[in-house]
Amino acid sequence: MFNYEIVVIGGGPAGLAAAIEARKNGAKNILVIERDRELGGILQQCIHNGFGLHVFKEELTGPEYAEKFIQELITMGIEYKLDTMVLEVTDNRQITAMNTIDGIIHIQAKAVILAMGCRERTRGAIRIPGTRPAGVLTAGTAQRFVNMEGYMIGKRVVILGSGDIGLIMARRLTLEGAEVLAVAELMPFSGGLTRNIVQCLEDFNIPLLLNHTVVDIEGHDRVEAVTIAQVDEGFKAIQGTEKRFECDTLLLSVGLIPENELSKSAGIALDKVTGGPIVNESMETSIEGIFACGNVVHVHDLVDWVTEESKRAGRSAAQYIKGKLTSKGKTIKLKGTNGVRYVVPHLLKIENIAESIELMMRVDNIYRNVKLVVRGNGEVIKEIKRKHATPGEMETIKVTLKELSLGDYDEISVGIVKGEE
Amino acid sequence: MVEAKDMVCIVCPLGCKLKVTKDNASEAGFAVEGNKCPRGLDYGIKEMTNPTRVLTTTVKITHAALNRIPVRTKGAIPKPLIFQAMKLMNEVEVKAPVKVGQVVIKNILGTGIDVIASRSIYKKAELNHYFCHSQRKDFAELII
Repeated sequence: MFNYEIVVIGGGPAGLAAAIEARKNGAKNILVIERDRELGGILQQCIHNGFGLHVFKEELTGPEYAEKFIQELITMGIEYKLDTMVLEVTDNRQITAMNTIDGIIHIQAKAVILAMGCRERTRGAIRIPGTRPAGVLTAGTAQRFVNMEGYMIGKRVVILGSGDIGLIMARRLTLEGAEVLAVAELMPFSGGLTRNIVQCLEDFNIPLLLNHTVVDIEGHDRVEAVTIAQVDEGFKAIQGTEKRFECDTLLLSVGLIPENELSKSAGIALDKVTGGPIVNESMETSIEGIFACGNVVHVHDLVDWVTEESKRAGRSAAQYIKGKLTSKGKTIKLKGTNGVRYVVPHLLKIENIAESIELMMRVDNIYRNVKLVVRGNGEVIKEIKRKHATPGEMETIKVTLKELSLGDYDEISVGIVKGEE
Repeated sequence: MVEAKDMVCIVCPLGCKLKVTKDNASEAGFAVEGNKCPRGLDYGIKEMTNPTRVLTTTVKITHAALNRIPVRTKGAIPKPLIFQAMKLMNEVEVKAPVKVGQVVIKNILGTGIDVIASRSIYKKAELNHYFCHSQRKDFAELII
């Protein structure tokens, strides 16, 4: 049995930031466990730029952003194990992991930080009809093949889903010589950032078909054609609107799911909306001493927010092992109402908040000229104007300790109020 | 030249809808409407006169655990040169080790802009040492 003060599961942006921040706050004995052959997580395959505008005030690519944290972690002498798979985390913070050098190892941690990230929804999750040939891939898998392993995945490509990964891959494959015939999106709006629609699709004259989905895949060994049809308000395909595209590849960018098998086996309570653990102001889960941060909690669109959130988890874990985190006192419940799907964190303990706390949330539709209203027991605490709010872009609101202490609140809600045009 | 053009600004996530029209009275020769900040003004004029983009892609790498290394142009290059630049980059081959920021192609297509590696990659054998453990001083020195 090995003993560590803090074990971080996952060496992506969340795990790296949490481990570094825990060390800065006095934790000495830290171990990061990563299942890939290197640190950095999914950032290593996100070779496009646009990372780090908030944290570093400059525009970096994914690998550059990751390398800054990897260098800092190594300089601090924080231990890590690569090629190592965690099999189990128990509620008393024992971890079972394995790799080809150590074999099976058991670790007792004083605090655990879950930073396993998320994974992609696949064809099975959205039940696309048709045959089952090779050439149907998730966009992230294709991204790894093309950007890291050096395999081109097809010549004529149709993409389903207009989330940022789908848009980025449309441009990437075009640059590498493939023909991207269309990007189909089930919703009446794209889930990606507007700037990505401009610089990834419009720059290369790739059509974006809103209110469309894939209704058939043809091909025996390899994809030969994909049929796309328009959908009605109930997302049912409209007969007679089918368009058939001869192609060899279908990419799916149809959503991400927080990866919580380990959390479930530990008995951690999950939120049905986010798919991740229910966390408090310290990013602590329903089990004392187990913290969570990054995409394992809720899917972010900017890595910068992952870093901010993970720093909070790292800092809290360091305070926890020193006994400086209180579990006593009053807990305020947070919830999203009127167009706000969820708010993270889910619970607040005023005693543990130093000055202010960042609330992160997602809206359920596209809104223009609205106000995000924070209410405590129904009375308005704070209002923030938004010219533009979309499900593809996470909203953050900073609330101060002073604002939280305006009344003796049991519940704080955030909702949308439509403003004057 | 086009007299007027509608476009979406890509400088920040706000995505302002711009209308850029020819205006001989102004210094730049164009008038921009719909921008909520001065960066949108610059973007609108640039899109009409000389649209540019930062190009991010990969080049071949040997003696490494991976087959491709990500690279980017250090600044924005003219949009019409993007496919020509891609062709050039597909002919480049680098050998590990490579350090982040290392110049892969100098002054690509005479733009005055270098193409740089956007991550460090070590030799395959070196990488294997670090597979399982940490805290190796030599690795720390290598990477810094």
